[in-house]
Order: sequence, then structure tokens, then C-alpha cells
Amino acid sequence: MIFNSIYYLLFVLVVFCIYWKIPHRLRCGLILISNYVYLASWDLRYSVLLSFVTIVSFGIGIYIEKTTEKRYRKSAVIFFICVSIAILFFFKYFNFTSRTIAYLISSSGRKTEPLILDITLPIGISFYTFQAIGYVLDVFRETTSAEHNLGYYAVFMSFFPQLTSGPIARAGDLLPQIKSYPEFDYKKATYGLKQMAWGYFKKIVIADTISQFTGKVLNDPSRFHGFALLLAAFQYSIQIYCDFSGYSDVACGTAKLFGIELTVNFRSPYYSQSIREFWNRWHISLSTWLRDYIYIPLGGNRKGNVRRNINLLITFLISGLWHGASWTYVLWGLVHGLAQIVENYILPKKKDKSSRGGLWFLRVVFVFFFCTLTWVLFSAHSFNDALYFFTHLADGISSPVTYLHDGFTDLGFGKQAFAFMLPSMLLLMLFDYFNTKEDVINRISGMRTSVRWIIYISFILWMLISVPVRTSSEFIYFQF
Amino acid sequence: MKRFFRKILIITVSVIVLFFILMLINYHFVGNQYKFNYQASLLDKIERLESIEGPKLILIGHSNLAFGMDSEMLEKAIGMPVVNLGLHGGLGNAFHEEIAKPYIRKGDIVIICHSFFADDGSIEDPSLAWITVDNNIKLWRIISIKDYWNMIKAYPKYFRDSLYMKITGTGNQDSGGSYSRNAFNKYGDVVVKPEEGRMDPEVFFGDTESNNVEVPRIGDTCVRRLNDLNEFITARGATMLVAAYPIAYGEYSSFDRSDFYRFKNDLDISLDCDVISDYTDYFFGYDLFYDTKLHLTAEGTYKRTKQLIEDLESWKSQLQG
Repeated sequence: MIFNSIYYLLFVLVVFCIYWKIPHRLRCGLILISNYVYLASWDLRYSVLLSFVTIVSFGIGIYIEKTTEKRYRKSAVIFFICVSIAILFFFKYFNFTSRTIAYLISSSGRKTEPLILDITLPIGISFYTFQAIGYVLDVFRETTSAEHNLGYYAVFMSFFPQLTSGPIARAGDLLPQIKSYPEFDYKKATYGLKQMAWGYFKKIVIADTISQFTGKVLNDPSRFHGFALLLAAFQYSIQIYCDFSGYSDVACGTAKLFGIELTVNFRSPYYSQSIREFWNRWHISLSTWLRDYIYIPLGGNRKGNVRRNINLLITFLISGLWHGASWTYVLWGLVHGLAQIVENYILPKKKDKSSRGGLWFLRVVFVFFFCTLTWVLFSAHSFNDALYFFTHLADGISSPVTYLHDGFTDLGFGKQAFAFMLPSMLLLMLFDYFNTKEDVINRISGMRTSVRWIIYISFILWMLISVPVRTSSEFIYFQF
Repeated sequence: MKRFFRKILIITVSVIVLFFILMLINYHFVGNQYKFNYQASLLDKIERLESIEGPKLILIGHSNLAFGMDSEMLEKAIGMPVVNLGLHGGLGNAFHEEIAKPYIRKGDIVIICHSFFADDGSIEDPSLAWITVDNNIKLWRIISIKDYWNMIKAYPKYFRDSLYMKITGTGNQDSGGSYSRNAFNKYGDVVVKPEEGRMDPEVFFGDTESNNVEVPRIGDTCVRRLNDLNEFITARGATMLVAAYPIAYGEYSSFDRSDFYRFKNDLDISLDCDVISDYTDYFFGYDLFYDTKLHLTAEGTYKRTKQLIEDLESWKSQLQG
């Protein structure tokens, strides 16, 4: 049951109607059933794995809380982390490791075939295992108390709006909301609807439209050269942002319909003035998870510059590996880590108050360019594809007009596509720009009724005109 | 809660109303931007169907008919007026069959020349279907209810393209080549086949991706629908037949004659109507194909038509005998 399907909307509507009709005490049960129905709509087997992770982390949490001796508590944490990593390794990294080992052995002259397991990656596995690890570590650190009700805990682990691609929730944030029984909040629910609409706009109108162009290049970059590659890279930058933040908006919006606030996952990341700031605005729930559970425990920036740099590299290496079982992801993570190390030396530590106007613009453009080029590593199917991309990016640049013209033509990005994409892109840029200053949805909600409805109707009309025929059946981050 | 549901209702109604407003804008202000497109030949084909009073021969199928039938030759040989309804295969079998239904009368012969028999009865390419029916509301009846949702989803693209053509003055789409309304003759055959549009048969059929000629599968849904159509046609006092389509056969083929004997045999068993062709008679060399694996050159068209005439005569003599 994909988020951008009519079935998901009907599913949410049915659960919503029942949720606010039934007595408070039954709501948690309803959400739990809904979560597993949602998961089973993908594949019933996935629910077995999620149940296992849920039960083990639940038990470990209680054990840690009840045990006073530190070494036992520590052993329990290590045990759980090992179990989680083993699960992740088996489903996500086994084939990758096997291929790497076979490659290394083959490089030394002995031909070896890698052992490849025919397994599909269970949906949401990277997200809920990290959520469970976070919970166990929080209980260990006593920043949150262990949950003693398996029902509540299972809802926390499987809450359907955020199950497949996050945001990765913290027990301290989500569990109290699940356990409280809020009354229906009209403002929150309508905000949720608007957030969902904005998310769908980003996903369906922008990301899915762009994917028609980027898909061709990603599938076979060797068919393209010059500006077509660069244009596809820029488009992919927008696509992945709209795809993932669109998903997150739908997730957060859905959760709000049930009175639950999820972690904000994106805050206009392409308006960042540095890579560091970008990571404070992009996939925030993962960035903060990595900061709190990896970077800071490693020593963070408390043990000198050399250790800080090493910690940064380790954190971003893990971030890269988390995204996918491929060396291109690892390299992508490392490049971002390195960029932040460089930034730590050249950028002022405190926010530069003068960075407005021209300088602000230059920095924002630079960060966007940097991210765009590094997304090439992220999206490439192999090192060779990425290498081809970088080495053929400037083909034909000596005649700039032909370079640009051929790029648009080769990609099939004609005047019509441009004409219909431009308003959507401008809308996205304006929304994100003003969102850096205030909550745009709230601002619109506070406007006069006539103005508000003109905005709503224009928005719906534009969505109706711009929706592509074929919407993508998946979200990019579902594969992680 | 009531207030919230009221809001959802207002938004839902707004979306529906705005959708209809878009359709009205398209109908009244944007207009038929595909008026001379290849697909618009359907209007002429229907006009011909409507204009023939007595018994006629109706050819139903995909572009293999449009690009592979000499209807005039067929008409002279059979002695009945011919209407060739062949259009783009992306519309799906059911769409093609539905076009003819209201015009089938007593004494008509309806020949089905599908090149696939495992469809699910839906429109394969809804965007293409919009181009085909365009703003001609009387053609919208061809769309079946089960296609409504996909057609609604495809409407924005149709609207966008039409609007863009209207604004830029690039509409009406007469390409001047084979793929325009003007390329068809009065029977519904494509008669404009410029040499520059012709493929290199060796290159085309040598490439495994484009040369995906294979034995068609036969699906239950398609068989059921064709048998229902046969019942409908018979009830109107007309006759339904199934005939072969041109099959590219040569050194790159992945099948042989026995595969198509089996296929014909399976069709005979499944369908209630007669299958008048031996499909292997429609095996044509690569040089007889024009620009795809189903479109014939003028020479190929002549051979295919000649074969169909023989098949029809043989069927008739069997009937009389």
C-alpha cells in the first residue's frame, strides 16, 4: 500500500473514522492492528521480522531498567545491538559483503564466485532497527524509562505513517503521545491534511515528473554526455528531495490526523549555507540519531580536532552504509564527512551574521552544487557509472550554446516540460524559502478566508494540471 | 469532527468541480488540437461506418490493418463495402472492438485481426485514448467504465499537451507523413508510406529488442470477450470471423511453423467463431515490413490482402459446401 495510492488514502480515512469514534482505551489496539495490516499489505512475512525486533527490544529495555549492575546492562545493550546489526547484515549487507570478499580474492588471482542469497530487503528495516537501537540506548542511559506495556511499545515500533521510511522516532517523543488520549484537534487535523497535500504535490507533481528524465540517465548514463548528465544531476537533486521530503510530509500529516506529532525531517535543506547546516536540515531524524548514538559516544568534538575529524568520518561512513549496501554510498558518506572537516577549518564556528545577501546566495548555491554532484555517487548503480558521469560532464562545453541545447534535447526536456515544471519549481523554492522564516502552512491558515481559498483552489487546479500520467510506484527511500 | 468532515467534503467537491471546469475549458477554449493526428482518422472511419446502409465488411484490429490492408482490392474481390477500423494497438483490443459495435447490422461480416489475445480488456495507453477521442464527446462512449479511473488520471497530460499546443500554435498535428489523418484513404488504410520512413529490415529485425515477434498467448478474458462479441454480432444477424495478422519470419525468428499451427488450433478450440486463416500463410519476409514488425510495405500489403481474400473465399466455399 504505497503512500501515493488511492488505497492508502482510503485506508487512512477508514482508520481515522474508527479511531475517533471508539473509546480511548481501544485506540491503541486499533492503531496496532492498522500498523500490521499496512505492513502485511506489502508482505505478510515482514511483520514477523518486525514483531521479533519489537519483542526482543521490549524485553531488553525492561531487563536493562531492572538490572542494577552496569556490566549486565551494558552486555544487554551490546547483545541487542549485535542482534540488530546481524539482522541488518543478513538482509541488507550479506550480498554486498560476499561480492566484496569475492572481488578481493579474485584480485589476488584466485577466481571466486560470490555467494549470493536470494532475499528481498524487508520494507522499513533500516528505520525500525535504528529506532529500536535508539530506544534501548535511551533506556540504558536513563534518558527514557522502559515501556512496560507491549501494546504501546509495539505501536511505537510499528506506527504505520513512519514505518516504511521514517522519520526515525525517539521513544521519549512518540511513546508519551501514544499513551496519552488526546481529544480531536481540528486545527491539528486540518494542518495534517494540508501537510499531506503539500507532500503529495512534491512527490507526484515534481519528483515523479522529473523521474521521467532522470530515470533514463540513471539506467544507462553511457548513452548521454555533456550537459544532459549535469541537467540530470540537478534534476535528481530536486527529485530526491521532493520524493523523500514529500513522503515525510505525508507521514507527518497522517500522524497529525491521529493527534500525533512526528519529528520534523526536513527544514528547507537546499537553503543551507554549509554542509554542516545541510545535515541539520536534511533527514533530521537520521542525522540526530547518528549524532546522539554514534558521533557523541565516539567523543564528538570533545577530544581535539584529530579525534573530531575521525569521529565525523566514522559517522558519515556509517551514514553512507546505512543508505545502501554499495561502495558508492560509502564514498558518498565519506565525501560529506570530508567536506565537513574542511568546513570546520575554513568556516567560522558561530553563525556568521554577515552571511546575508550576496554571500548568503553564493553559499547556498555552492552547497546545492556540492550536494548535486555528490548525489551522483548516491544514485549511480556502480563506480563506473559515477566515473563516467564525472568524466563526461563537460563534453562539448567549449561551445556553450550547443552544450546547453544538446543537453536539453538529449534528455528530452523540451520547452513544454520546462514550461510546466517552472511554476512548480518556483512554488517549491518560495515555499521552502519562506519556511525558513515561518511555518508557511500556518501562515496561510491564518489568512482571510477569501485569500486562503484562492490559494487552495489555485493549488488544487495547478496539481490537477501538472500531475503526470505515470506516477512512480515507489519512493526512493523505501529501498533503504 | 463534523467541521473536519465538512472540510474534507468541500475539498473533495472542489477537486471534482475543478476537474470538470478544466474539461469545460478544454472543450470550449482549447479545442481539438489533435484534429489531423493519425488517431483522428477514427472520425472518418466511423463516418464511413455510418454512411453504409447495406451489408459491409468491417475489419477490426490494430495498426497491422491500417498499415497492411488494401481495402479497395478486398472490396472488389468480395463485392462488399469495406471499412478498415485498424488503429494504434496501444488502445487495446476491447477499445477497437467497441468502436464497431453500434454500427453492426444484418449481413455484415466482422473480421478480427488482433495481434495479441491475452489482454485484460482495458485501455493500454489512456493518454493515447484521449488523443483518439479528443473533444469528440460522441466517441467517449467507447470508453468502458473500468477504464474511467485510468482515463481520469491521464486527462491532465492530455489537457496540458492541448493547452501547450493551443498557446504555441503547434496543434492539429498533421505530420505530413504516414502518421496523420491525411495519410488514410476513404476505406481507412494508410496509403502514404514515404520511402524515408522505412526502416532497414536487417537492422530492425537483427536487433533482439525490436524483433520481439513471438507466438501470442491466449488469455481467458480476451476469449470470453470475443465470444461475447460473437454472440452480440450473431444476434444482429452478422458474422464474426478471426483472421491472421502479418508475422515477420526469417533468420532471426525464435519460432517455427508448428508453433503457429498450435496457436491456431488453440484459437479454434477457444473461440466460438471461425478462424479463417492459417497463420503460417501470413509469414512474410523482413523486406515486406515498413517501419515496425506489424506494418507492411505496399508489396506486403498486397500479399496480405490477397491472402485474406483467398481465406475468405475458401471460408465461403466451405460454408456453401
